[in-house]
Amino acid sequence: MVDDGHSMANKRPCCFPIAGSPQPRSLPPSFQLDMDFLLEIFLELPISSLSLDLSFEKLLESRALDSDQNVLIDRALLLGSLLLEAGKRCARKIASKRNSCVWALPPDLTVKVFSILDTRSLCNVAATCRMFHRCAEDPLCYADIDLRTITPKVNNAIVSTMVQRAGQVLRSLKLGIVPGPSTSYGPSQPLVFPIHSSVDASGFSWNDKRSRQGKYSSVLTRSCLNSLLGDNGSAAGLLLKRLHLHNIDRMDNPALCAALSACPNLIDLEIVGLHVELRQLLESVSTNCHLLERLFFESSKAGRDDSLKSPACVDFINSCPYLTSLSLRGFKLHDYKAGILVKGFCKLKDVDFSASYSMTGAFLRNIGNSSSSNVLEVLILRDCIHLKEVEVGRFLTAVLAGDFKFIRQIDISNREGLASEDYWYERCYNPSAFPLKQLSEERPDVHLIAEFPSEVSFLEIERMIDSDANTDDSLQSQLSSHSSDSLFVSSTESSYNNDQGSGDEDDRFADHVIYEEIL
Amino acid sequence: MSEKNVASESSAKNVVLRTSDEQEFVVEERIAVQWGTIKRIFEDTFTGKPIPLPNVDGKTLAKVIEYCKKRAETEPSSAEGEKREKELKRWDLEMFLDEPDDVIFNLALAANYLDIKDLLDAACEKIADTIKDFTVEDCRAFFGIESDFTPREEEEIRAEHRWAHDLSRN
Repeated sequence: MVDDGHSMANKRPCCFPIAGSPQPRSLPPSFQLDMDFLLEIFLELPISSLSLDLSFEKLLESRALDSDQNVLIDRALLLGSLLLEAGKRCARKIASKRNSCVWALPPDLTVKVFSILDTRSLCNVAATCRMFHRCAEDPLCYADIDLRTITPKVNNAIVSTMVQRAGQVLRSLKLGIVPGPSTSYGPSQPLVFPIHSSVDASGFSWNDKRSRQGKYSSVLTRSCLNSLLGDNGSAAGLLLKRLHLHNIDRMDNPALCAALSACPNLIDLEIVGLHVELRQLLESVSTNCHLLERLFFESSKAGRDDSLKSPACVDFINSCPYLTSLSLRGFKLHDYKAGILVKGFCKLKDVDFSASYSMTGAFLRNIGNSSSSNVLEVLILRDCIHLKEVEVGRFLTAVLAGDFKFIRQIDISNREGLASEDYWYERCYNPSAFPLKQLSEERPDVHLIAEFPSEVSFLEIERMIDSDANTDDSLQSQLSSHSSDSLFVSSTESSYNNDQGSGDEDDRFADHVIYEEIL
Repeated sequence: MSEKNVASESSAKNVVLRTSDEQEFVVEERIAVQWGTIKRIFEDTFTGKPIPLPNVDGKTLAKVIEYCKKRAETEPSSAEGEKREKELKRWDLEMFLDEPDDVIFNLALAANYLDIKDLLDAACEKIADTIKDFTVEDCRAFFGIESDFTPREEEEIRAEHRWAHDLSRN
């Protein structure tokens, strides 16, 4: 307690505006000093709610009028809250200072670290403290935005905030709903139709109206890509290279095409489960994205999208000469259109027309002579219901004859087997139609995948003698241990159906015959 | 005196570096000039005397030199382009696997000061790798950071990052 010779009684009248007095006195310059002094004394009072209560009650009782008492109470509340705010503010200041001492890196290195983080981790660090939050607002952190989630959580506002933060730094944007990490897209997985239904396994409905109501919307609407457009020529989409959109229910043709019009430098476009028409998409791509190198488009309509016409194909091949990877899955794709596409892109290395309707494989005959046959590396035609066994056979023969010099992976697996020559509903899964042995001898670099259902149970393993094959094919381990370049045909019926512990085999393997040609 | 020997050696193929804690390190010139800062000194003001590095301590410089030496040894690789990038990245991460975090931070700071791009990238990758998948609480606890947001800011941030938080709780 400091005693500077002033008593409390002497000070009070001249230094404080008296509660209840008609006019506040003007405050002398020493007011602040007095405040400092008094605050210090007050804070050093031994804290006991009882003594504070008692003093306050006594003070109240000394006021005769109710109104005077109310004024006192109001002042107590006000001062109390002011003191509380002051305390919190200073606590924050100290926390900020401490944070900056504890974190060793200067802001530019912090931004560098944050720019490596995935978007979700970035959001988490940004929410820890002000210092990190400031660093996490740097455009460099948003060059690669990945807002894909398993259930709907992201709304338009989140997308637009991040896109605007990135500005011209934006290179990659991934958006939408994807399955969890246990499943994956990829050419080796069979397509499961429909890719999404209106109610998924967890019972959550993407069309659920409830998600539109309430304070927080977790739905992406058709306007979610508007921020790519921008107003003034410095649109965020300008330098965008990669755009992946998955299962955005409410996206439609016009909105998507508008977004693509803002992305002239797009190199990689992936569209899965959007209600967008093939023809319109290709038109938009042809018009806007001349640098495109990869197009992955999976239909939401399970083979019913028949919109693609030849002129659109021709336009596409002329507009996007740099295309190296083309996946059109689940569309009605006739052979002549497929032929136009595969022949027309002179740099096309990867082709995936899985789950196509109407495609018999006849287009494979025509591309054998073109220059594109010498560029093609991967050909995937999984679950093409009309794909004919004879056409596949012809194709493999062409490969043996020297065409398709760089082909290294061919996948013609089909849950229903291949179509027979005359009636597509008669299915074939007889391995003897294919020159497998010859293929493994003459073109050992080619990996042929052909998973079919098995009707008969037979087990026949043919070995090639060359013992430094190492394939990480999981099926290999199911058979007796060969460590060779082996061409083998195995029935899984006996070995899989009874084998409960077949490790990481899915159920779909349960009654499949697998033909594998392994390097 | 060893210092005199060192001084005469430096004109040959070695450089002497003196750290903030007065330790001296002899480094092959061909390695040291890959560091931007040293290279600039060489081109401008090098006198043959030990180069002072006031921003790096001995322990950290030792690690920097170790990293650069190891890197130089593994340089020739059969892989190329993107594959090689991945290989190197993995190698870097393995190298730093057992290092405590403060060492990594010091390495990042030293690499920044000495202008060694590869080491800086590797150290930042390692730090990012540590942060990845942290929840907000994890991050605070790990780095000893406290929240200094006002209540209003707290609310805004919660709304903005809600999608991420929910995920991490799953």
